Amino acid sequence: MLGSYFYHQILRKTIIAFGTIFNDIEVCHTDSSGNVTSKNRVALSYGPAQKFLARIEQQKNLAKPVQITLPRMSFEQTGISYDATRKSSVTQTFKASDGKKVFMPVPYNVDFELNIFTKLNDDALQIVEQILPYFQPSFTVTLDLVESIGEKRDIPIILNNISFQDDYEGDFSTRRALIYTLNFTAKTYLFGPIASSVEGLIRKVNVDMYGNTSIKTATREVRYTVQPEPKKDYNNDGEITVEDRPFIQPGDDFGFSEETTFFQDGRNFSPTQQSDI
Amino acid sequence: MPTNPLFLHGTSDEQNLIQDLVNEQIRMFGSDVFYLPRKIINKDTILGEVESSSFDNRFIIEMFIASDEGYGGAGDVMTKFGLNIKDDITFVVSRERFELFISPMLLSIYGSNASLRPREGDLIYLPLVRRLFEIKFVEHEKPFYQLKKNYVYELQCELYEYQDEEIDTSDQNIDDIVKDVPYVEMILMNTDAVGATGQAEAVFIENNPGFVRQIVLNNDGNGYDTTPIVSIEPSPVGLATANATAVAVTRKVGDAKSVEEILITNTGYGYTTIPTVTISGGGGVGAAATAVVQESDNWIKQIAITNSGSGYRTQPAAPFITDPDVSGNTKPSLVAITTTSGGGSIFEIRMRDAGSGGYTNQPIMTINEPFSLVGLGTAEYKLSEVVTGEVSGATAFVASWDINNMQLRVYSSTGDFLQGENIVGSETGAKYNINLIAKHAASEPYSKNDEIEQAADLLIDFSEDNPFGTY
Repeated sequence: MLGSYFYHQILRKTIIAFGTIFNDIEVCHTDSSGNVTSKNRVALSYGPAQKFLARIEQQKNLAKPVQITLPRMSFEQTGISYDATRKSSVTQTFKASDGKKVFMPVPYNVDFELNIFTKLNDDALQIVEQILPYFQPSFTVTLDLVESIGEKRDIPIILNNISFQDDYEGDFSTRRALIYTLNFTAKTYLFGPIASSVEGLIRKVNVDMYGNTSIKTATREVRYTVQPEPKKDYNNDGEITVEDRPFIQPGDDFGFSEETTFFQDGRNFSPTQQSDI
Repeated sequence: MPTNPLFLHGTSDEQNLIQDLVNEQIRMFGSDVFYLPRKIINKDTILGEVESSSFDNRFIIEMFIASDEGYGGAGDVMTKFGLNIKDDITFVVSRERFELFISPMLLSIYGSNASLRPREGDLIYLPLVRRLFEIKFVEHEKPFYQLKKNYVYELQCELYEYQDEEIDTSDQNIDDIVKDVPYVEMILMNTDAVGATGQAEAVFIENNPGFVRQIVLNNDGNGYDTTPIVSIEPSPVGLATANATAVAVTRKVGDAKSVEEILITNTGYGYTTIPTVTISGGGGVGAAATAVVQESDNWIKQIAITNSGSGYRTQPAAPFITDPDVSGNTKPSLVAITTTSGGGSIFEIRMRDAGSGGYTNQPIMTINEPFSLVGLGTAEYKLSEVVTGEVSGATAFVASWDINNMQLRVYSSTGDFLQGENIVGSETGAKYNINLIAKHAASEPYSKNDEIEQAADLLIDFSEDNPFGTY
């Protein structure tokens, strides 16, 4: 029922845009004199993955010599919800930069979770401190949501809350796990199908009027015809005539010609033959 | 009720016997492992964490693997942070053997801070499986005081959770474990030398003696935020080309800013008296200098740059006059002034002392090649050696070097290498010039930073001036 296939990859793009915000975070360590002993970029990945792929990629030769390398971050989409506060009229359209008529997108909030896993509390603080000042409480990215119409939208990404888990208590058989979790909401838009051609111009409208309502016997008696009327000499023949009419383009300044015709020939318009029969 | 006094519950001979039996059992049924003590480099006493540590030593010792049915723990676990291998293992080491063979070495290395027992946080490398384990807990009372003494340490270990600790034990098998684990930068080196030696020629003048040979700073003044202007009284010859010119060099030490020296750019000619030198502007006061006039013929009036060269990212060695070598005369003392344009080029050559003159032939100027070219491409980097950026000062360890593709992979860098600078090996002296840096491309398969960044570059409009998205 819903119809034709389309996939703008908007949710995927939103995931990528969210992830890239955090892909240049670094963690620095110093010696007791304050000299930098190491400076590493924090590894980032989208959390969910196919298990077999994770296994064959991350433990290719079954001999991984260490348990895990830290620090690292992961992010994942945790929910999608309609945002009624940004609702616009369902029938409202806008014209894209290439002239295509596009229905207004539907506002959706995409929830994300960013997890930070570190060995040291200080590492976590370094990472969090490199993130938080940019969110007040939102950080906006301009995203090319639908490439085919060049539609760029500002997507605010809002930091909702921060929580952390530090399992340092207990016996020595379990290792300390230090995980910060930051929850975000990206206010994105979902677009419906986009017409493959640009918006056209209706060049002629006929309205036939009948004397009665019988679909068997009634014939058209009056025809009201409206056509766009050129206001400039498109074909450069020195005069503005009906010859210029085919050259009128959407967006041009043009008028309308109205014509009313009366019939007594007992015929009707055939849409298939495009003539009166 | 007291214990029976007729039984001793353990004499030293009995204790020694048990200890010997334990030692023998571990030697027969155990495995050789390497014990890697942790050296703490920096400790955060507020947050209670070791921020930086290294493992520089290894000691071989036999240990019994108590986990005879394989690893304990949760095994390979898929987490939101990728694959986490939670393998546990328990080693048993003879107390006597540890205290006799490892403790003294720890004492000699770490002094009074050394621990005489196995310590939590230290590592054990098990060659059998080529894996590193971290000691989580040392159980020292199990079995519980048999014949009034304990004979073993039970080391409860877990597969090592690696961060950026330096592992440099000189055992390639151990050191290689982490060479691909940390986050590695891929650096592509230039196949050709980058840079060219500048060229200049001395502007020789044969007559009209009386030139400003040197300007002696009498007072360096203070408060010079910018370079002041040096004005020298015009030559009596009356031509603009006959007037000497010079520039000041300022120096800043803490909040003190003064004139460091005055360098001559044109000696002028025809001076019959000592011209007045005026230092003005620059926001400072008090600097004063006196000109020294030399009355000999045939001197170098100024140095003209004929080729600015390139690759002069750092100050080259002083240019010099190679010919003619007239005995008794003093050659000029020159300073090359570089600019960052064109990848580092020679902007001007100034004279600290224009020399005594008296040349009989046209002097020949020589400018040293850029430091970036000296010894470039002469050796090969060695695995695990420390490399240093000549300009940035950043250091890192070599993970691999592929001379055919000119690809250097380094890890544990202490800063950012700069495109265009040379990276020098500390042991081999190998030196190559950076063409391209794939910034911190992680060799860890989990890391998808670069993939995410590349995908986002196609989607995000970074040109958009967004007050809420400034970074």
